[in-house]
Amino acid sequence: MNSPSTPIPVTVITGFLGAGKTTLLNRILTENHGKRIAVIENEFGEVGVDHQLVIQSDEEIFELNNGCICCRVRGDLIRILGKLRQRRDKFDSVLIETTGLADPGPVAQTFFTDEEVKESFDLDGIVTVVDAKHVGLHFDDMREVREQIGFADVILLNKTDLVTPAELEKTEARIRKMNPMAKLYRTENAAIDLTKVLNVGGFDLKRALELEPDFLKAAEEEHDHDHEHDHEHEGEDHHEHEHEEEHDHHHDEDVTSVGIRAPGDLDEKKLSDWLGALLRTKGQDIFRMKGVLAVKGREMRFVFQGVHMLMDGRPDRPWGSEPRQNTLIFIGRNLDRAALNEGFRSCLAD
Amino acid sequence: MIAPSNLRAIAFVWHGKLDDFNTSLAWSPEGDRLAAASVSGQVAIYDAMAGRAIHLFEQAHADGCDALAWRPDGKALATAGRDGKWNLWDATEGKILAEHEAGAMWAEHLAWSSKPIGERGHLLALGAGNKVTLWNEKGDAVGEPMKVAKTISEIAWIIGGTTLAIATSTEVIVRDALDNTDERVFKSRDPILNMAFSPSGKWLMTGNQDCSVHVWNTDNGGEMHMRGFAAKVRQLAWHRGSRWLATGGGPSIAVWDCSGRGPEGRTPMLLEWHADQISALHYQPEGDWLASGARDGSIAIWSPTQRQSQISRAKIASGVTRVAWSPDGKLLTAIGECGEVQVLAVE
Repeated sequence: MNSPSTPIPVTVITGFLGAGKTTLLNRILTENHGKRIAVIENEFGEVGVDHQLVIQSDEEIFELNNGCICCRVRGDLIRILGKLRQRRDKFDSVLIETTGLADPGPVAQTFFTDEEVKESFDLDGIVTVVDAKHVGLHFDDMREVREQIGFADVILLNKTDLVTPAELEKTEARIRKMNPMAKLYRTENAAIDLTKVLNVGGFDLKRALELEPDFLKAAEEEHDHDHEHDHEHEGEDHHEHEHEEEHDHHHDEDVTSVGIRAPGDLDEKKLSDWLGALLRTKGQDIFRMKGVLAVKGREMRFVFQGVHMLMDGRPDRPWGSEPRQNTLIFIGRNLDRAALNEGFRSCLAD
Repeated sequence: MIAPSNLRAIAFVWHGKLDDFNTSLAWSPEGDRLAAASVSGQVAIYDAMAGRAIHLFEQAHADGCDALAWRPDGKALATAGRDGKWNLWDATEGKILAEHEAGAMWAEHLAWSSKPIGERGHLLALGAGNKVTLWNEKGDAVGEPMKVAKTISEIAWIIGGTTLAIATSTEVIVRDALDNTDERVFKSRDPILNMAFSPSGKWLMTGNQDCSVHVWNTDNGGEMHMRGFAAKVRQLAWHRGSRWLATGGGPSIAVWDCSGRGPEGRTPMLLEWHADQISALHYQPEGDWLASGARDGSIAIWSPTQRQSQISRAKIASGVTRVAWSPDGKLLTAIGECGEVQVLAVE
């Protein structure tokens, strides 16, 4: 039983229509024996398991402060979670299945800005299911697909049985470029060990950068290089690839990631000014960010994570024998790699 | 409970217990019975004098009962819940008189018209999802469902009339229930959570997602905003005279003077004693006392305009979810998060 002080973990499952969200949801409900799970599914949802607590919700965005996208929250979730918290001893976790066109931003922001929701629930992670066969058709024309990938903590590259290994490599590389921070798993029929999608701590500062050592690689590299690299391996997709590259360069809303890794201590005041200004001016375009920083004069690592303009940061533990260095990642649209690097460098202590 | 000497003693008259978080509470029109409901789906009807349950419906609504409304003759009780249904119960026999699907996932809102509407008698309005349906005293459907654009957060009859006020996140619609036409629409930029019309009908107040209260003067269309609340204002309680509005939204209660041009620019009276957030407010139907409950289980009774504003105090074991005065104002009931049903009287 959850005591009132233990927030209930919430997992959000996103993905484009037909990607396999419901398959994953049903799998979790079927396999997760002994756990009581409340499911909030979208109005077209079709959970196939005889499950006690399934609530359908019609997406309803609450706009605050004149519709600034950083202030959008999901009114339907606030209402439903408000009712669920009344019976909190009846379930252990919550799964939210969004529609294929849902923007994960307002979903995530609900858990960080609404005091009532915050008090009883913790957003554990955003799991995005990607249809390996069809996602290539949607990367460029569906903004929602890029957003859902950009926001993800875990990506299931699903339906791998329907594509060639070469296609799969190409799709994975493209996803990695958008979001190198997420854990990516290749699946068929959304078959995945549930420990990989539940309790992932995607927004937990203690696990802010619990990532593979080379997670920043894709984000540190320049796009052109990556494209050439892809290109060489995929002769038969030549035409499609050219097309894609063209889009990359002309698209005004491309989702990318920028990773920064650098030694050197940061000046606390400069850092705070830079991050503050960055969130104020670019927060709308930043989906997710995470970092571990070395601040001059501080023995502790400074860790942070954020969604749009909302940032949560604090010292976590001493560096100890680990070399002091800075690791940051930003995921969003139209990120200016040069400006972010320049801004970061300006924070280095003299 | 030992009260400070300047406070009046309070008697714990009787108590009942349901098995989970209590959501709803309703005194019968005559004040002889009391109904309470919980998220377990239990509904109890108590004899208010004897303090015993006359009927206990164990599974009135699977997944929880959210709304209770006594038919104005006091002989039947309407209930609605998270099974998407609403029921009409014979309050004496304990039998179901009518049982209907509400047409949405959850049936959350019930309101009987305060007066009979022509030959139809009193009408029950049921709000579920984005639909309002009307039902007669026997529980038969009247007319077609009325749809609104968004999920309904509250419904209420405009006192004495045939019009219904329907609140959604973006607007409060005042609609003639019989011909299903909108008389007025009050649009809000801040998402609306709840509403309260003054008994006079002059003022419409809404509590909003951004922790503000939006005020409309329905006489001249004037609007104002009250801000600075520590939390969302989930509690709006009108004094019967339509002059005073009490609001929650944090541990202090603000009482706003709505006489004349209204509350804007006026400093509210602050009633401060609760240590936790206010979770329930109710003014006596025929008197001047205000009852408040908070999330720590504390209960207070106030006479806000008196110099010594606090009259009495009490506490229940878990967070207060609703307080309600009996129609004559002599008994106060508080219900709680752990199923408490506590009836109190100021001595």
